[in-house]
Amino acid sequence: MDEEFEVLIVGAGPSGISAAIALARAGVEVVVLERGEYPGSKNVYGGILFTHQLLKLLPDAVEDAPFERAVTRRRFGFLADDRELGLDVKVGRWREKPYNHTVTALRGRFDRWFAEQAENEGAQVFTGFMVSELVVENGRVVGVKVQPGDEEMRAKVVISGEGAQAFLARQVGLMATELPRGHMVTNVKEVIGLPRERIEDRFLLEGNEGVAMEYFGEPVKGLFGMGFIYSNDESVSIGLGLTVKDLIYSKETLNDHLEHFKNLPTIRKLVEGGETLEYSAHMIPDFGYSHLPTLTMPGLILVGDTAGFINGSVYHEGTNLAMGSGLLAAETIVEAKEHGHDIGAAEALAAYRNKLESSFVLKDMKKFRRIPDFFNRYPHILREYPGHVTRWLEDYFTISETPKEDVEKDILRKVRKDVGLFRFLVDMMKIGRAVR
Amino acid sequence: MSHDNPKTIEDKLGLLQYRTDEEKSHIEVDQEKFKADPVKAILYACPAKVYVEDPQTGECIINYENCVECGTCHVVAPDYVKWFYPEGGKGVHYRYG
Repeated sequence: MDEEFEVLIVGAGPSGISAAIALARAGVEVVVLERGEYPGSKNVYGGILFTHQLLKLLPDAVEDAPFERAVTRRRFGFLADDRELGLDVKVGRWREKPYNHTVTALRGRFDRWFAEQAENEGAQVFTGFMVSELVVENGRVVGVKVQPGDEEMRAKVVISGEGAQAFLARQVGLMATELPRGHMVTNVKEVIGLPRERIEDRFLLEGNEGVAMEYFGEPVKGLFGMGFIYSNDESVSIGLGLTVKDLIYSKETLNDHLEHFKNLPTIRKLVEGGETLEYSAHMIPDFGYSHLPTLTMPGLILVGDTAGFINGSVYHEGTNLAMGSGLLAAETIVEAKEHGHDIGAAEALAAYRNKLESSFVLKDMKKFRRIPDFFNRYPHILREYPGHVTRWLEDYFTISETPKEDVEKDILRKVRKDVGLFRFLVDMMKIGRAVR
Repeated sequence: MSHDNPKTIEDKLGLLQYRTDEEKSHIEVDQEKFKADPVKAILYACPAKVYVEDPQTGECIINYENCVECGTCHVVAPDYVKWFYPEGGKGVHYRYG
């Protein structure tokens, strides 16, 4: 192909499709290449779609998009043996539009619908084409190699929304050649079919309400990772993730970890009697703000997971950062075009990083920049505290004729013995500093 | 769980749809380096049991048709696993995701 497009986008995920819609709408010629048979057929995530960028782009999506449930309840659980400490936040108002911008959705349905919106705006989406490498000439990305066929397609700018594997970004040196084990999280998930009424009864939900539950401690045997359960219309997504580093250390398969999690006494009842519809696995980059790749080079912009845009912290946001970065990549290109500049030139693309820095994407990542390193550096926090804290609470709430004053003294003695008062204070300070 | 709900990796992989590339594998393993690795973490780190050690030869059997395309293996063993996407349209075909 001799033709040169204005913009080529690699990957029909949330980041690539957001960019495609915004570009097509502004009259930029845009082609999306997706290796799956249809958009979504290769895409896996935990289960929560954060929609504020989606609704900025497509306000009608709140009616039209294939959402499953509005998340009205978020629960964080710390599990140890048969004990659970939970933080449960439920807000009834979140069942009303726009659902606190937090809904469950299945990617096989959502990504397909989203890509259709891009086509409606005039973007071309080609499925079944895998981009195997970038074509670089004189230090500038000028196109991509496509398989099958080994054909070259050329463009003024390539937007890579390739996903976590980041082969393209690594090929041209925007990030290290090897992905970091301590910051790549492999997740496995099952979608388990359950009748609507059972889901609503088990999770205390009404109508379109949904729940997001995330678990630390015992589900991943105290390692750096978490288990999760998200409720869909007529299924629940249950899964768990571990950094590759801790997965290697654990010496067990992720399926064994998942079965262990599913069979914990507090979890078993939630998925009991269901029928597993799908098993999947996927990686998430958790680099943190300080270890992001270089985001652009002449002719190339990175968006979404491939750029490491994940807000790990307590929010576990990804889809909105992906969409936000796609929109800002598009905005960068559209502005350069309006000024009559070369849209792939280094000077034009430099605006992208600044736009990200002044948006929620990098502001939030910057705020929580210490977290990914924190849990790698202090593994004992996740290993020890869920057990300790739930035991102290168990004692506190154990009813007997022991006077409460003695109970409290006993607990303090246990804190001293389990952790040490000084170390406890230091750890609490460390946690405080990590999330500040 | 009902009685027949899958628990093993094999049973769970049986639920998946694949568009297998019958002609070529998208995974290569350097057998000598695999044999020399005392840990061989890919054998358990792969969530789809793609890698199995041949008890006779000690070589790594690659069941690439099982691959769920998470890419964990080449992060685990970058010096001897060469993993890349299957050709466009091939490989695992998720319906829910």
